[in-house]
Parts: sequence; structure tokens; C-alpha cells
Amino acid sequence: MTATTVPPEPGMATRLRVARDVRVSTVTGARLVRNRIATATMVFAFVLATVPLVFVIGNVLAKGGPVVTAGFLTRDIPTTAAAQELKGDCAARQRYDPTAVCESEPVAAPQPGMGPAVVGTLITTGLSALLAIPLGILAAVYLNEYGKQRRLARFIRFMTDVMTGVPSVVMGIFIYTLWVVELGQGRSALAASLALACLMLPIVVRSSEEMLRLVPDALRECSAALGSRTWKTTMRVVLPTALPGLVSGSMLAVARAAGETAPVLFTIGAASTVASATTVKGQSTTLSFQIYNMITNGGDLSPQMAWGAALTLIALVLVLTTIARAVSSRFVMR
Amino acid sequence: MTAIEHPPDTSPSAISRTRAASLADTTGATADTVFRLLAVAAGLLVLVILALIAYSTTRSAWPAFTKHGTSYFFSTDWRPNQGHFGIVGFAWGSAVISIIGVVLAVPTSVGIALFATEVAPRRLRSTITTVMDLLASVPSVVFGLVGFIVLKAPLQNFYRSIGDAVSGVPVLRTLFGQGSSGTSLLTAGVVLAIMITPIVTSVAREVFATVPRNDKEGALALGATRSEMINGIVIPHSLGGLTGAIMLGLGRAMGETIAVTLLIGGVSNPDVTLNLFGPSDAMPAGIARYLPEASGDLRPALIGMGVVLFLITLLVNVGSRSIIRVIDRRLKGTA
Repeated sequence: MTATTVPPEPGMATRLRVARDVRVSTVTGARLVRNRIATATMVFAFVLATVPLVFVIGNVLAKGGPVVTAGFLTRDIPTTAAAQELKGDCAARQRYDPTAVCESEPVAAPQPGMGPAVVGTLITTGLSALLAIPLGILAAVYLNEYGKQRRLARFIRFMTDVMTGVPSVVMGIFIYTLWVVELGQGRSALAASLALACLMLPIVVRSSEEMLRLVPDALRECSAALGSRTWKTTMRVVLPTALPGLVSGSMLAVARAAGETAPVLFTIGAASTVASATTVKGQSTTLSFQIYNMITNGGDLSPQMAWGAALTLIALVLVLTTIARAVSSRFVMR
Repeated sequence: MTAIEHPPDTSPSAISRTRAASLADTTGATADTVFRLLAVAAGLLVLVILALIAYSTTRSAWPAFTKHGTSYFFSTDWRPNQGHFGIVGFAWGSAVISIIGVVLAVPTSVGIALFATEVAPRRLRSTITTVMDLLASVPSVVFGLVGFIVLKAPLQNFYRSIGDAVSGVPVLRTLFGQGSSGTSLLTAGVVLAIMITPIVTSVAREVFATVPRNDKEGALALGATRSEMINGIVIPHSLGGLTGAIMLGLGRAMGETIAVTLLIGGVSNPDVTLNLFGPSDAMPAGIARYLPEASGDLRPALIGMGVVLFLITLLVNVGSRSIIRVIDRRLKGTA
């Protein structure tokens, strides 16, 4: 594409494009080569980064695709005992379940299932969103509507940025030491939600504050001129105006939390049936946790179940991310 | 956005009498105070959580610190069954894989960021953003799964052939010795590089965007090629910000857990080794591996590693954020 095919617009791009055309025609051999090499290196860097993405997504689609069915998403996770029974190894089954009655033929071969992990992921992620999003938005309201450039607000803003860098495994240890052990609450879906909420909070605060900052001061002034107090201005004018931005920022945080394993590892316990995973106070499981489990404690069905869970998880994260991007693209204020 | 050009709620004609009356609430003084206090409390929550993390984890780890004393921090001897808890081996593994990750990710990220800000046509820029967002959204455990199931065997052969090829060369022999399997320090380091590339790229892009247009156009007007302009104007102007980006990536790399747990190999007593093809262990990986089933003396020792990890990442992040903040201020000053 040359400058002549583009309608001349008085913008930076046009000016640069003209300059570039002139420049390339006048530079000598070695400099031209060096410039080409530099450009090629940059393109190569980008290609290099897309390789692992394509490789990972391709593998997950190819290996998880055949596994993921409606049944897979709703069935209980087959226990090791059930998997052993497939081989007709009745003694193994009785080791896990002394009351089991062995029949000559296994009644039905165990099918791969991830129902409890799907339910558990939705519950823990939803619960952590319920905890982190309102508090995060409220904190952002403080930073942008009340604190502004005060010393405390600047310090909180800085520490929020620092907190986004705290490793997720540390959040897991934190909830494990404080909630599970110290307060004696034990492992539960709620404990895992608390750890995920700690992870989400700083992300929600910072993205929400950015969105609140985009709301023009004229709106606040209009509201104040009509006699409304700050809280009413915030609730009726500022937050509704920023709503799409708040939604998209929060959903990105939720997507991040849904994919996390480390905070869940010490806090969630275990569950293998949909019924037992449908809980807040009891032990549960998540997709990410199950993938890790399937890899580390292998069984016959483990690899295909791990791939199926991975595809489900990536799909969930991508759906959340895509919705967030779609919402935020309608909220670009320039 | 259209809502800003035509704010429906605030143009006086559009606001009904009742709405105006409800806004003009003069009796809401209490509500206002309550709302402000709630907001302040939510703001303070971040500080409270950070303080609680420090307090609660340190308290649980305290027995390990007092019981083993200096040997906890300065010994490579990790044999929980014999009561030896020295975390240096884990810290070494963390340091090596983080450095590999940063060394591989930073040039790539800088290249991508320069491509996105200086070279790529506008339409391609959003594609680059999308690819980076997608890469950032792949969960850690999925990288671990693909690496563990798909790449482990080919990598084992690859490492073995390179190890054989360089077995006579002095320095390379130490770095690329025999690997027992495809999971190793190098495998973990490469995965870390992939995982931190999006965040380093995004910060680097922001940093490059702060380079004044006049400087860049001036260089081009003087006849500089694009690469000369980048070397002479963009890079020198961005060095500080890039340092911040690198430290941010380093912090992420040190804390990354699940992919590393699956791909570093995991040995019972990691030593200080330079053999990048050999299995080892890292602090977050050790915690993930042993804490779920830990009891007795092992538990405080593992939580202690978490405290060390927390403090290191806190320092790295305070450093990187301070640098990035200065850059931000410079951007707002010139804009």
C-alpha cells in the first residue's frame, strides 16, 4: 500500500509513510540491510510467541475435543476403584470399599466425567467474584472519588499494584494458614473462594479505578449542582456510567481466577460426585485442580479426562474474556 | 463514546422533576458518611490483607525459623525425614528458572513490543494484542499438561542428543549434562518465558508509547533508518521503564507455581547444580508438591518457603512498580 492509494489525511501516519518511502530509497546498502534485519527480528519475535499458543490450543482441541460431551460435563468423576473394576480387579475395589459386592462381570465400564469439577469451578469462582467484585469496586470508589491524590490513597494504589504481583500460591498458603488451620474451618469451597478472592481483589480495584477515572467530571458536577451528595452521585451517576467498564474489568479478573490452581491446592479438599461438590461449606474440586490431579496421580482414564477438563477450562476462560472484551469495546472513551 | 457527547442523565431537560427531586436530597448526611466510611474501609482492605498475609504465614512458619535457625536459610540439605530443612536448593532452582525465563522472554517481548508500536500496520496491532491476551489467558496448569504429556518424551531425546554432543566441551558439559527425563530446569525456564512474555510485552508497549513523537520524527527527518531511530531514540528513552518491565516479569516468574511443579522434574533433595538438563525443584513447586499432605515439622518449613517467596516477590514488585510509576508520571507530564 502506498501513500497515493490512501486519501490524504492530515495525520501522523500519512506524514510518516511519506517520510518512510523517501528514506528507504536513499539509504545505502549496509544500513538498509541492518534495517531489514531489525524488522525481520521483530517479526520473528512475534511469530516465536504465537508458536506455543498455537501448539497448546491445537493440542488441547485435538485431544480434548473427542472427550468433551454433555455426559462428560455432568457425570461424576470415576473413582480409582471403579477404574480398577473395569479390569475385573475386584480385590482392588474391595480395598477401597470393603462392602462392595463383586460380580463376575463389571456392571458398566466407567465413563470419563468432570461434573463435580464443572460445578465446583462455577461455585468457587462465582463465590470469589461475589466477594471480590463489590469490595474491589468500593475500594476503587474510595481511590477515585474520595482519596484521589491524598497520601493514603496513593499508598493504597501502590500497594494494590504490588499485591497484583503476589504469587497465587502465597494466597493459597495465606488462606490455608489463617482460615483452614488457624481458624479451624477446614478445607472447603468457601476457603478456595477466599483465596481466589484475594487474588482477584487487586485486579478488580485497579481496573475499576481506571474505568471510574474515565467518567467525565462534568457529570459529577452536574449531579452535585442538582444538590445530590457524593454517595448519591456515585451510585446514580458515576457507577452507572462506568458500568460496562466495571463489568469487563471484573470479568477479566474472574477469568484469571477460574484458571488458577495454586490457591485451590491447599484449600479445597476433594470431591468426586456432583452431589458432594454442590456445596459451599464442604469440600469440592475445580477443573484446574482436577487437571493437576490427573497428571500427578495417573490412572487409566486420567490423560483423556485431563485433556477434556483442559478444553472445558480454556473454553470457560475464553468465553469470559471474550465477553469482557466485547463489553469494553463499547466503552472506549477517547 | 456517544453517552458522553449526549449525557442523557444530566442534560437538565432530560431529567424529570421527580428525578431532580430525588437527587436533591438534603437529608442524606448520614448515608453520605456511611458510604464514605465503607469506601475507605474497602480501600484499607488491601493493606489489611497484605498485613494479614505477612502475619499469618510468618506465624505459621515461625517454628521452622527458630528451630533450624541459619541452617534453614543457608543449607542445601533438605531431608525432611531426617529433620534437615535447608531451602537453598529450592531457592537456587527458583533463581535459575526465573533467570532463564527472563533472559528468553525479555528480548522476545521487546521485539514484539517494538514491532507493535513502531513497525506493524494499525490493523495488525490489534491482532498482536489479541494473541498476547490469548497467551496470557491460558491457565498455568494447561501449559503444565501440554508440556508433561506431549513434550516430555521428545525433550528427553533432544536433551540426550545435545548432552552427548557436548560431553567433551568443558563449559557446555556442565550446563548441558545428562538429563534423566524431559522435565528439567531448562523445560521449566522455557515455560516461564512463554508465560511472562505477555505481561512484559504489555508493559514494554506502554513504555515505548511514552517516547515523544517529536524525537522519533526528528530522527527520521535527519535520515535515520527505522532501526537507527529505535536504537538511538526509543531504546535509550525507555531503559528505565524496561527495567521495571523486566523486574515485573521476574516477580511473575518466581511465583509461577503449577506449570513449574509439573515441568521442573522434582527431586527429593535439590542441590545447587548448573546442569540445566537435570531435574531440580523450585520454592513454589516444592510448596505445591508437599504442602497438601504435609504435617509435623515439614509444614512450617514449607510455609517458611512461602514467606521467603512472599518477601522476595514483594521487594521485586515494589521495585518494579516504583520504576513504572516514575515512567507513568513522565508520560502524563509530556502528554
